Amino acid sequence: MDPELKERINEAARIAEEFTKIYYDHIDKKKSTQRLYLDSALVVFNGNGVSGVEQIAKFHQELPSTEHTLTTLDAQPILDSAAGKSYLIQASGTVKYNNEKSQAFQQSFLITAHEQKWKIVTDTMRLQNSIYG
Amino acid sequence: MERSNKYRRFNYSQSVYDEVDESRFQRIQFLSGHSDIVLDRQDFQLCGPNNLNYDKQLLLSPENWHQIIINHHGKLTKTQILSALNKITNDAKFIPVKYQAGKFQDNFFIINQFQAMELLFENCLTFKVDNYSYDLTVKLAVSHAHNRQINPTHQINIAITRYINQMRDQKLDLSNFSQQSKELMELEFSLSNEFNFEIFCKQIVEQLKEEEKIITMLVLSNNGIQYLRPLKHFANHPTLITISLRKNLISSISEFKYLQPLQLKHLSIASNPFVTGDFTIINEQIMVMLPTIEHTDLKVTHQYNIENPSNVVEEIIRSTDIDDKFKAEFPKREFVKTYWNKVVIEHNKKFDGQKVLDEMFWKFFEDDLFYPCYYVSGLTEDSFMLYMNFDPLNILIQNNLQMIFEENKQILKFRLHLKCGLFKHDQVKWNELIPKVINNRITASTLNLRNFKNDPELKDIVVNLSTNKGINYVLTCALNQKPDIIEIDLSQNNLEKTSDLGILKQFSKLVSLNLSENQIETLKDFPQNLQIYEIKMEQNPICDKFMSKQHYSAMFYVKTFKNLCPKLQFIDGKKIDKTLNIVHLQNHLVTPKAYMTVLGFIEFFFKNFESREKRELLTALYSKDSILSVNDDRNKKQIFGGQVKISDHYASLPEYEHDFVNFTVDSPLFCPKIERNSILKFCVPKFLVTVTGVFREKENKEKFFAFSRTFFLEKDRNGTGRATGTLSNTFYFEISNEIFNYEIVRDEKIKNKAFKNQQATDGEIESKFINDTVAERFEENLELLKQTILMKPEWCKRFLEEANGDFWTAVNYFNEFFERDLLRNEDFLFYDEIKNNKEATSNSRN
Repeated sequence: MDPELKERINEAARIAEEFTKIYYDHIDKKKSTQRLYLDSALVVFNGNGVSGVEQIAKFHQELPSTEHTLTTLDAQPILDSAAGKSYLIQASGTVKYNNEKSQAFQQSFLITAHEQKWKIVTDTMRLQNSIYG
Repeated sequence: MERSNKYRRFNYSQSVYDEVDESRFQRIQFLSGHSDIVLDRQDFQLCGPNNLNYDKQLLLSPENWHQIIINHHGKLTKTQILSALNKITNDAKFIPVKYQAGKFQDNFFIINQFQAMELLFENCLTFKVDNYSYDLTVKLAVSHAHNRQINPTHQINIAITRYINQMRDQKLDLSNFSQQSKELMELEFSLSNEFNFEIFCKQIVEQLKEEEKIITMLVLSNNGIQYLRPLKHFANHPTLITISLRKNLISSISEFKYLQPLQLKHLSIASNPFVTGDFTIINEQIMVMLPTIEHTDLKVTHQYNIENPSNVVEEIIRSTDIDDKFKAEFPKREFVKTYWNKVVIEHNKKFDGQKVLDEMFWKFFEDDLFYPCYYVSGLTEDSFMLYMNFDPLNILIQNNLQMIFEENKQILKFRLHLKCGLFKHDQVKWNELIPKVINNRITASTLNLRNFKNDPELKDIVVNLSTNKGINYVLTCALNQKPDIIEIDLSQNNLEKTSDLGILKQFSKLVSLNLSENQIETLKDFPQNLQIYEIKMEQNPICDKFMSKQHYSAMFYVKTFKNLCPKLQFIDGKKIDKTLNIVHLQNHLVTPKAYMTVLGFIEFFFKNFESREKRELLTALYSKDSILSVNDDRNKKQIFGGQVKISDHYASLPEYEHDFVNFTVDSPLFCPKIERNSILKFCVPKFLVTVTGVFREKENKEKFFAFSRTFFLEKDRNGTGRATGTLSNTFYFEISNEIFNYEIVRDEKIKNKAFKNQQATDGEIESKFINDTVAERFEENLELLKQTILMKPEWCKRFLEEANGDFWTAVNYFNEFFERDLLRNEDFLFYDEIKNNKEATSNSRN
């Protein structure tokens, strides 16, 4: 692979790791997720859309207690130069709600650098068995 | 700005283009299947009010498309613009093609209508609305015409032919012709233009003759018709004896003189501007002009015959007759059950009858059973009869026979006619009729009170379930007749308060409750602990509250109802998830505009990805900058950079099958155009889509893989249109990023369900829409359409019915209506949310 691309992908992987660590820590410990999102961010949770940073934070507070474990994590840089630094991240793993049986989930994020911080633009989550819900 | 209220398009995530965006006009596409108009001519001639010299050759040639741009500065509606232009071109054929509305400019195309064009030039390419003048910009000969393109006159002829072939009982119904005809979807054909109306009438008469068909009745209501001269063509069709011209714009009664050559017997003319004043005079004038006319629709009908024996004198009470003594004595009167009492509402055209009734219900008669009978609307007065309802009479007297409307301080006066007629047994008796109708509405264990107030049997009674007494009376009747009802449907009844529903607790077997399509705004005092399993609340203002930006959370919605009714398992037809209390939705698209693009892409991509042979078609979707990463369940990661490597990798893979029926598709970001104010400042338009689902290898059908595949697509920078097929009618996109995760399915539930719906349909995405019966399929498509275009169900139903139940055609119709600005914001499900967004945007701009 082109060494420049390889370097960019490695950088994306580092950022994705840092980012997801913070993200799932906030979710699992029920910290307010407000500062993780852009003002106009959109969360799509099993097909249910929630937009706006305050509503998203409220939404996460309403969720039952969670415990996420990641099995795969992947990230790519968005090459559009005008977009600033932006990354596409896809994570998958298992999640336990209210300490019940764990379920497989998939989640993808679009994050961007905003005032020197990583902010989520879109956050799309699906439980694997919800496909056949 | 009135325009922004009425005609703003549904801009959920994208704004309307601010000025004429040249690239947007490169190709004008037609959903009707006609060839695009390609704006490839650089030698067009630009004209405007300051440059009125035009090349006559260009103008006259039938081979040229001309583009007309209307500079309305956001101050005019499309209707205003078209009505002004139709006025100018009244003496010529004028059929704009592909009208597109913009914030400051609208535009459309014209072909082969040089007389109309000359008239526009004669008016110096300006037009006036309300004494303000607006400019037109004309681009003459922007494109060469060819014969696979739309031909306006031809489309009109096809539409007329279809109506003639479909007509029954010699009745040709052309009401709202231009809006109702699918052939005219991409045209603006207005019958308010006299010349257009002329061609139209001529064509109908000719085709009738050709097809050897005769008509006795012609319905032309709701067509904006102003002039009647063109109807003289029907003189050649002597069987025609009835014409309906209701709801048009005829402003002078003298227009009817043009109908003299016809031998009409019946004429419907209500709801036209000239119909004011005394109906008798109008009827007389018409009949003098047209001696053959037997009657018109302007008449006061007496459906009932209430009269007194000669020895009984009715007592008339006016508000001026009432003093304190009268008020004190009135309740002591003894009323005789055998008489009708009449209430007259002296509205003098200032109040709408329906509004008066609504106000009366909630203001005066909240605590009383009140059933007005034989409601009659008149020009200056409405009236209704009361039988056995004495308390309402007293309430009116105690209020001095007056009602004051808060908002405009207008005073509405009433007049009472006591003992105005003897009750006869063949007249309507509400206290017997209502229980009888309820009995008809009970089948097995179901009580269906949907749209109860409009039951045909209750046509002589005004029934209202939105008052406490009203709903309680009806439900008590039902309870007395059948206490073990399982299912109650109260939809479409204007219910406002759930506090009135306490009586539902007495239905001990009740399992399912339908409250949809009502006016419920609050759940305050919702009956506690109803033991129901299912509730339907769709299309109530309360849903908008949950959906509005401040509160929107599906989970909150579900939780609220689950708290009220602990046994609840279904809400709005969707199952509540056990662990999360959340309803899973199959697809989430940030804007309905994304639908065709996203689904088009998915169909193209996954169908071709399955087979080795076709997979190379996908190569065109990648560029040298594309990145693909693949993560399998053994946590092995592979990264491929650039078209060649990606295509090589694909070539090495076996054949697959996907369970298309159970794909979930989320598209949280869709920017088909570059926007200055968007979240991310992209160089090229993009959209993001994540697909989750299940696939298997063709050679090993027992092993299922769950996958999640995220694509970031951007507009093809080269613009060479490498993505063909389904993508060609949307945008030319290429994949810039793709992340593909998959793992073996271990969940037994998924194993049991995957590919179960697949056998019959062999992996087609369309299989999602194929079902056992037509009705089921219709319902399913309707549900899907609701989720897809996010419009209120009555619209979804309309599109789907128009499309004969075909989902894709319905989506096409929707897109077409959407493009043409025919949809009002309030027709969408998330109207309030959009409104808030819009306010937020305009605030931030200020």
